[in-house]
Amino acid sequence: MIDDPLLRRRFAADPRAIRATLSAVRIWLTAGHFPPDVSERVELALAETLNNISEHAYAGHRGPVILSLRLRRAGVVCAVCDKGGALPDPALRLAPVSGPGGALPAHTENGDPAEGGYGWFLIRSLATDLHYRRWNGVNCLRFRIPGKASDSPG
Amino acid sequence: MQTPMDIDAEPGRQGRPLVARVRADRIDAAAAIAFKEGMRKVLEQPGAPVILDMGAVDFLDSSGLGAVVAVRKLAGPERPLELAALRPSVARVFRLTRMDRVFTLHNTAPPASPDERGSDRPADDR
Repeated sequence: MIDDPLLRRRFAADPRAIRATLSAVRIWLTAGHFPPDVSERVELALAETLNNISEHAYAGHRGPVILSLRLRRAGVVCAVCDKGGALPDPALRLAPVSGPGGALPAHTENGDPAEGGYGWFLIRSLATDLHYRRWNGVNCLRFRIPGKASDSPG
Repeated sequence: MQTPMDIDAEPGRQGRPLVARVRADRIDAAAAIAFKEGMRKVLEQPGAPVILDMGAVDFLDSSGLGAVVAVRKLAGPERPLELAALRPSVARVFRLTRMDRVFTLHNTAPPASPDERGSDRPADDR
């Protein structure tokens, strides 16, 4: 394995740029011999994180985002930083899915499933070692997606 | 407004299901509205239940999931929305969010009926 492989991207928080970034992540992980299962979980967790930044932290304006991915033996460590609004209730959002606040969004009164509110649930279901810090107006979220690259190419 | 997503509709006459085939590989935040608009057009066609062939979709996030849930509501209780041919990456989202209990899931999509096929595509050789 190459020493400390790192993917770093700076882009604007809008759906098109997010899509392009996710595509680059997928290509990078495939090149790093991660099985589809791992790269799909990384892509989904990052998509949810980046959509939250675009829709909530920046509330639709195209603020800057910095993404870095590092390959570790125990998985892919993702760090995402933005300069948007602070994450409300970080302790609740980062709690394990099995703990308080980990429940899925409730169905509506007439029994229909909710149309939103699944993002954090998915992040917490997929990731471990979630860590959030806000400092000097910058939000940084870090988490790990467990999984191993296959040792031999192909 | 965004252009509706390209979704083929095979109307189901005489009590047959309406089959909708998504022609995009992602239903994500950038495509969720276009997907809903595309399905709104599809739902103008007759047939029940509505079977959504997702075989082409290899990425769906919570925005996409929300859009599928919205389409289920749009179709109404008389026309249940059923999902077919979910790829592993998409099936994972339904499983994790327990939506696999809300929707009827089919492993494979119904084959295209010859009389309903669009004339712009060559016939399948199988």
